[in-house]
Amino acid sequence: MPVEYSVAEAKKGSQKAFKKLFDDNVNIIYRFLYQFSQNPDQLQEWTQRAFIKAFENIKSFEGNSKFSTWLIKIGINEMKSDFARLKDKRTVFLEDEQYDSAVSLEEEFEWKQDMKWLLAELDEFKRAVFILYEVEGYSHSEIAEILNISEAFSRTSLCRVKNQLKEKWIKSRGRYD
Amino acid sequence: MIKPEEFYTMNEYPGPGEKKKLWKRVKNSIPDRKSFPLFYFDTRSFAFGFGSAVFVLFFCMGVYTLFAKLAVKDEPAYVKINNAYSKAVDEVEKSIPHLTTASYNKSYNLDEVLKAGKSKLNSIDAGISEIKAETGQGDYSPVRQSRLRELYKMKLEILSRMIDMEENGL
Repeated sequence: MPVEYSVAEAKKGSQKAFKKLFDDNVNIIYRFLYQFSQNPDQLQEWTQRAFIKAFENIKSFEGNSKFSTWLIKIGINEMKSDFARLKDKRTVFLEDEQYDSAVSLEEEFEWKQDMKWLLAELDEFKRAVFILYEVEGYSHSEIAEILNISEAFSRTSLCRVKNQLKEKWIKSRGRYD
Repeated sequence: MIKPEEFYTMNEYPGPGEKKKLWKRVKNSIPDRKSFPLFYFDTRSFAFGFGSAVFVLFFCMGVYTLFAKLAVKDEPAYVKINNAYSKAVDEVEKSIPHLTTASYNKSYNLDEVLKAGKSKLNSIDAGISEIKAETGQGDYSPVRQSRLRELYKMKLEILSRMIDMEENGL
């Protein structure tokens, strides 16, 4: 069943069609949200709420982007609302949008598996930008839509993250050398 | 780009049991509006609907019976008596079907008498039918009821004579 058909049927209220969308996207959203909380109950809660909200608002999904893009955006909003409710002092996804021309656009970046724990040390916003681009393969325009930022800010944020990761990795290697 | 299978580990994915639990929770939170409502069947709704229909049916039967009994209770005494006459005539006719319906194969005289009796019974039945046709539901006109009683009495008398004649072998 093509995605468009599933979406069209789900808009009519078909649970069967929505189950298909669930099966196709649950892994994508779950593994992404895992990068922000390893608490299984919290993960289940966010994932469940994302799908429920998606079903409730499916009529507003116009199909201009991928369904997974839209779903991840909803998932991130659910996370944000939880952090805001808990009055979390972290500046989660609230990075000031400033186009920093001083950031060198480092093109050479080699991913090392060890870097994953270094990535976990960065704030949620930077983590999200990096994973969405480098792992999930979203474009900067899609990331801009998901995180409600500009495309330019997405690009500079990614450069910043790569530079930070590289620096941290080199430092960590230096410690053990 | 980093391949997802190189970045994510197995424990970062939901297991089959977890997925099943997740879907169950999502499913219970969203309404199921199927595309073809004509074929939508919900067991619980069907059971409640069926039970309600049975209850309504028995309720209506009870109400009808109650009103019917109340209506009978409201009937005047002369109507009740006529009803009793009617039942008595029916019972007598049932017990002697050979006299009221069949052709007779007795002695010539008896035959003729019984035929004459039958003819009179037919006339009386026609009169009874006419009065009943004129009488509406709940119409207890004393004149009509009085005439009806006369007819029932005549019918019973004739039947009684016919039985006596047959027994005596006239």
